[in-house]
Amino acid sequence: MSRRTPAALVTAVAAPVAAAQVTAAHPLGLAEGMAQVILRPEHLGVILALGLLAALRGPDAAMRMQVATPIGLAVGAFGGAVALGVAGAEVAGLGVTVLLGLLAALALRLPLVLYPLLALVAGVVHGHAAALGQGGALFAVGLAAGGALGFGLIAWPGLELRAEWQRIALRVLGSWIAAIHLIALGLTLRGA
Amino acid sequence: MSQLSRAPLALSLLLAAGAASGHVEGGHVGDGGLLTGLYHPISGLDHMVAMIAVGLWGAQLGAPAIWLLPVAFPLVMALGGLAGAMGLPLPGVETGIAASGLVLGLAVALALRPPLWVALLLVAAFAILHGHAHGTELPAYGVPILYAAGFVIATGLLHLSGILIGLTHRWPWGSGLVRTGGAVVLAVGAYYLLRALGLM
Repeated sequence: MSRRTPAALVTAVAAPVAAAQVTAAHPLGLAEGMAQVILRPEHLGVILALGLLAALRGPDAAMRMQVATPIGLAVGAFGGAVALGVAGAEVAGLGVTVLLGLLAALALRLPLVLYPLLALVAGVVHGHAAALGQGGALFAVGLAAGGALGFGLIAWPGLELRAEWQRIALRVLGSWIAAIHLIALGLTLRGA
Repeated sequence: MSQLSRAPLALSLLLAAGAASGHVEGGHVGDGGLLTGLYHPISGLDHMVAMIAVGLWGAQLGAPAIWLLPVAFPLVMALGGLAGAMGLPLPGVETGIAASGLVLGLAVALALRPPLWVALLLVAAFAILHGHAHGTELPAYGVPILYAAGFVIATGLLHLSGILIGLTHRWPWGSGLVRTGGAVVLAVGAYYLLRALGLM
């Protein structure tokens, strides 16, 4: 584990504290947007899955996904903010996370171009679901920032895990994410 | 602290968690979210021993089974959970769950080493049954995704406990310990099977 990892972890812990101090000085939407990744398990799941994918594929994929993820979140959130309601956004979000978790579990080496595309699509779907009916432009910006930070905190330390058992642990986490969201998908479709 | 010396501590913590669950059995635990989900796999001894046996057997079989099983099991279990949550019927679930303890316990006790695809198929079949049971038994209240997270994580930790114990099979004393554990699982599975068949 490099020296970057503790710094990243400290930053992650400090972020919610910083957000609490921001709400008084900035519109509420920004902090709420940033907090979505932590407070909403379905959005946390997709960020985890994207980070695992990047960690398993390598730094080239990680760099591309680091850019694509917040762009996707922002685009999706802007669409949700102007209430371009797309039916089944929640279901689509869960389905996307199942796919990403599955890809992480399988650790397939897909063509590099697919990774930012996956991040973009996942970001759009989840950004839309997160912003639907709530939040404005600042919410979208906050969501993108939170997603970028969350992705970075998973992917970049994850790239440093090179031992075989560590790589397997990442794949196991991917399967857990896929399993959790698959069940949640079923419960959502059932109307639970 | 070396990896080997950490294992007994981890094992003790996992076993203590099981003992703690005995204090809440019979009542509702949590609010249908993470805690409820975490509790569910350890609320039934038949679930618990089967999950631990998957880890034991994977460790006995060695690579790649030792990591293939914990990667594949949650996914296949989730498929069963999906079916259960959506109300799709599956006959003989309780009997099958009891049989899983008996079969997996037997495999560990006798240190059976079938072809990998046979082991995976067997574990997958049992995973469907266990998942289906979790899916049908989920509470009508609470946060579904947190419940799902709870029982997937608890299941994974039970596998891990089995793997940690199973890794001791490399030593002579450990081999006996693991196979004795398999015998215990077999006995529990047999008990539940007889109950499921109405013979006890």
